[in-house]
Amino acid sequence: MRSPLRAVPARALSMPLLGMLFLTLLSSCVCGKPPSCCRMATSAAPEAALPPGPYARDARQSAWSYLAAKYDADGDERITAEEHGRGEAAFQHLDSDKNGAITADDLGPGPVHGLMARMIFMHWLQDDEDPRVLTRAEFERGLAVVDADGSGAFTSRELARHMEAHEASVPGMPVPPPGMDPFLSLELLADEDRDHAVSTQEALAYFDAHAQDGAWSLRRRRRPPPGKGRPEPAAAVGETAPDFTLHSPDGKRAVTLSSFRGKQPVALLFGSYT
Amino acid sequence: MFEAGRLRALYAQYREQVAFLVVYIREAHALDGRSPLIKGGLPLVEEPVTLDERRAVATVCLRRTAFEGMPAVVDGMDNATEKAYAAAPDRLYLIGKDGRVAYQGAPGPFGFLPSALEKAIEAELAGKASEAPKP
Repeated sequence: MRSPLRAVPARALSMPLLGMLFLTLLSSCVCGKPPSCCRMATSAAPEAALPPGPYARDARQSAWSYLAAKYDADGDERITAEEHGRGEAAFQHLDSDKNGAITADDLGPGPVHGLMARMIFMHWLQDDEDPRVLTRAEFERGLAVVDADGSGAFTSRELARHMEAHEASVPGMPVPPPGMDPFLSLELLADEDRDHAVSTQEALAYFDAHAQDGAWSLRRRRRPPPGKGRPEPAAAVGETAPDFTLHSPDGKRAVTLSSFRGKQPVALLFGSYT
Repeated sequence: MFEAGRLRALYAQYREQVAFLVVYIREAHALDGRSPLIKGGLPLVEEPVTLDERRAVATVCLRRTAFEGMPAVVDGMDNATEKAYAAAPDRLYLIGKDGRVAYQGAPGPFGFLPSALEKAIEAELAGKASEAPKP
């Protein structure tokens, strides 16, 4: 391989191995399928062969550890905009508490986790007529069902079993994508004592913190005004697919979509690593 | 992107008859983006700011997932292809032999359904047009 291993500051290498073991426990997939189903398949690629880029080489490194190693030049546990230097928008996203610097405190659960947690509770703990409202009583009853062994808390495994066994009850609501551990969001937000289980008490505390008049309700989503909201594709089914010429990751091969016309159908798989 | 294993299986099954192309686009959950997903073994990636950076991340993604070895291209930093296909954060398409859109999956992650793509492939190979399933 051409590229030498990018020089890694000694600080990054000193990340506690205990931390890595801990994160190993967190990252197991509950879908029960072989690892190739999940985003993070195991790979034996040697570290030296990976190209330099804006990603953590060790998939189990913490976000703060990664950013600090890369940007905290003066080692004061705060990354200023000057130290960051990757653009205003990126800096603003990272500085969640808007205190003018990126710190470890900025890197907790984000809005996606809250959304996931609420979706899970709304979907799977409904048991009455109105699927758009989750009352505290419904919530408590639902928790008792999820907690199959009656331990007073539920784990990733119990939640996964419950979700597999029950249909999501809110029609038209999106479900968490397969392969993603839904329990993780709940754990990040509600597992106060960090025992990898969400107790009835912890769950109710989370419910109460986000309830209005003792319940959660789904707002009907209004159509976004024209010009806002999700952009539409340039071509619909039956129309000519927009042509493109793009290159392979190593830059060596160019592919033009229209070159397949008359020869083969083309399956396009759009996505990214995250 | 999810279900790399299932898509890999489709590739293995149909690659003689259908061209498969991974199109690597802007990050769905960049660490420094609008909706980071921190913790849990998910990859830590800052949104690439140069094509070289995006190519590097694409290389690592392909190497570390079941997409390894599949044909892949990387969208330009103008995100032109992603925009033309409204493909963010992820999306599946089948382009027919006639160059027309034969299957347009609903936007991901919830519309990202390898099973629907499989049906579309089967229909295309059997000579029928196929529509995206209603969400």
